[in-house]
Amino acid sequence: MSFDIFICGVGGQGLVLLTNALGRACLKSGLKAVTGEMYGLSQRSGTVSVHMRIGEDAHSPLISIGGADALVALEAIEALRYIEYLKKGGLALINSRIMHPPVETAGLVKDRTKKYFTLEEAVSRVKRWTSRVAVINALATAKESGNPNAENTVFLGCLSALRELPLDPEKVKEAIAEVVPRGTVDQNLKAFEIGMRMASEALCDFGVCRNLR
Amino acid sequence: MLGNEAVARGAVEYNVELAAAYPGTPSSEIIETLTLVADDVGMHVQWSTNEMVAFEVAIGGALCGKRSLASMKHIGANWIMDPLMHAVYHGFDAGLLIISADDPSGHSSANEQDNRYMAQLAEIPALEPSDFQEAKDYVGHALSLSEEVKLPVMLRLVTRICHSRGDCTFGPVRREKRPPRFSDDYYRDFVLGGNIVGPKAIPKLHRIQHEKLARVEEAAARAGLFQSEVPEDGPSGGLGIIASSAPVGYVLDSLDSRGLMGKVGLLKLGLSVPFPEKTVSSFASSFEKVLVVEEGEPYIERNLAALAKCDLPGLKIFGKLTSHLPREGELNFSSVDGALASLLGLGAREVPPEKLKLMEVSSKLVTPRIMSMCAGCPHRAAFYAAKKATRTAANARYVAIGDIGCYTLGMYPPLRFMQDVFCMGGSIGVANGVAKSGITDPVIATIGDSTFYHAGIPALINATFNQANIKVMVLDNEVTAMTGYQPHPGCGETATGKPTKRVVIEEICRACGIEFVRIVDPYDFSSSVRAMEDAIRFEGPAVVIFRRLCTQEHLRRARRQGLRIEKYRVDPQKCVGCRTCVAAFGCPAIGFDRERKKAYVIALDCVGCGVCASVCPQGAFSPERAGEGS
Repeated sequence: MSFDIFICGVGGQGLVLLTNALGRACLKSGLKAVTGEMYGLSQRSGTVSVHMRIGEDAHSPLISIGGADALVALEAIEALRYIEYLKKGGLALINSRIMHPPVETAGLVKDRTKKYFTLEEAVSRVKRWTSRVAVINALATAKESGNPNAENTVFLGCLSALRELPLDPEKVKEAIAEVVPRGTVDQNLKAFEIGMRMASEALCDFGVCRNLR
Repeated sequence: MLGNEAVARGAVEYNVELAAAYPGTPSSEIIETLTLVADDVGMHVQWSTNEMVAFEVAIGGALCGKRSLASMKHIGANWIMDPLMHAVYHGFDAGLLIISADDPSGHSSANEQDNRYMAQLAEIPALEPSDFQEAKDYVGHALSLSEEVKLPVMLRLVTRICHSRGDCTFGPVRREKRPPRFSDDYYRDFVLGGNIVGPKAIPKLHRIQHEKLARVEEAAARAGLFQSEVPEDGPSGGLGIIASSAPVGYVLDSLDSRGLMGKVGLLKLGLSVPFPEKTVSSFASSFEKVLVVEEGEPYIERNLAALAKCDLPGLKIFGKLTSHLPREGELNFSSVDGALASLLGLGAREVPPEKLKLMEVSSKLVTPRIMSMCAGCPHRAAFYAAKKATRTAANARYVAIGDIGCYTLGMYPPLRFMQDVFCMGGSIGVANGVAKSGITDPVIATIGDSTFYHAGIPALINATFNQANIKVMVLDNEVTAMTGYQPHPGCGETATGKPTKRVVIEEICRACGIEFVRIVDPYDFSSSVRAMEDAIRFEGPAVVIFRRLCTQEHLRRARRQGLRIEKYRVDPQKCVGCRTCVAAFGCPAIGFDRERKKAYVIALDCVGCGVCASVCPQGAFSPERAGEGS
């Protein structure tokens, strides 16, 4: 069986880099990996999604509806937008950050003129589908590591905490060091470590994480 | 590696010596990748002015014995029809490859056209790789086929090949610099030989083309482009599948997940034009039912139906025409798996009702992220200024036609500037007609810099020639931004980063006979408004060039030079909550606190353009440092 990860977020958050790092880690580990990416017009502030499949029997780059083992949402509203891809009871790693679509800010959306969409609304709805949810404040973590743009590496850390991910976290770290801009390696690795710890703590009740030293 | 990178690798391995393209999603990374290695492998790689020129450049290369390719998105290929329809009657010594990146579902395109029909119209072979390995290998097959039958060959890709990543095993790189030799065979055979004149000349050339086409299927079979599997112990459910391109992967995923690998017949077509009748007929004859799985139009399905009518009268054919697969939009695992399940009498994978409900609720709840220009985008400032000018100079009455580029987003709320958009260069062309139709309101065309060079110039000349009273806004952000910041003729730099002479837009406009040409910085709000007002009041065709480097490119250069970007802030005492900045201007780096009824700057996204300071009627925006000082 392949391990399928659906990654979503907003253009500019570095989803493609995140995918590249995972793909590179697979290559280092001799694992087959296929990804399907949806970007182009959505480079900034549009919705971006990546299908990532790891394993020999991943033939096509697309994950089926209800086929993803894990859903990684770098933005909380996006988690709900793509919830259909997650398996029942699958793992959801959600950023606590909400980026209000400009049309919502502009008051152009019916039902949303009075009150913005909240993190609680998004998470409570995802929880109707799976209890295994980790809400991660990736922006704060990234800032703590010295680079607010490192939200993506925080989530690489979160993913690496999962026992089901068929990758050695060390390989993921090697890959990160190769794909992030020179000069930001240390910050990104720090963000990775904190992300890994945060996910293990958030998901400790479900027994899905590796034992961290 | 990215599918597009695999194609580029193929071009290197199989000795392509000349590659040309105009950028277009999802094809752009092919040439971008080649520019990185062009000098090392001795390949000429260029961004051309448009797709037609790119293909003509490739023709020139092939004519001189160099393996050549032109790559483009599916809609871009519309531009090459003229040279292509001529090229098919010529023979080339070296392989000539057209790469068409189709975009089913129109993820980044205005339509879903299936360019296999273009290949059919031009009567040239079309190859369809189904994964990353084939994306590379088929470049070699296509070039060999092109040289064997002496026809241009199309490599038809789709978004899910171009923009997916997967494994690809490299082959050896065999670079050989072929000495250029201009081939004048066509001239000798058909002009001097007298065959090109007289009533039979064209039919004769056409017949030669048909003879070439007749050899394609056999050559493709020899190259292993058709792979079929007919199960020995009787096909499961009497069903065979014919598939091509990316959907082959969905078929394999579906069969694998149902434990049916090797139990259902499968024919993978790596070449679909000309329709490989013998291969398909021999495969289909083993089955009672055939499901055709292909991306785009039901091209294989229709051809199979025509073939079956004579050769296989009892055959039942399923696919898009029988609604087993969706007729529009791209295919995916679920649609293909559903079709297979229904034809094999297996249970479909049901989505649990509670999930359906959740999906329904979320789709209602979740606000769509309408595409929007970046924070600090000079286009937003230009549109906002132009909109103001239409109010002051024309009582807010105008017709504006857009064009293809980032600035197309000026149609979306909250700016809502243009009312319609067509093809590359269509803004100026269509505006010509609107202006001649008797409309008395100002007629505005908005076009980007790269698009202006691509297709805007002939229509601008037409405006002078026929004195169409149009106002052209050239939104010049000094780079081909939407497709990934590729250089264009105004950049002074080639695809491979070599300095070249700049082609200057204002000089072109003046040379086209435009008497009103004004250049403004869109960040200078009042000058921009004035320039548009003057243009609107001017009698006759007028051009205003809004020039300012694309914000993303600017940020990249600033980062490289270590420049600090000064962010803006809102003075809550001054902000009265009028919402002009969010509801009319719509900068994504400005948020609005609904409880306090005050705007605020999202510091992480702000790029410090400062246009908000011009837009705010209360003057509530100011640079952060200035605020700290006071």
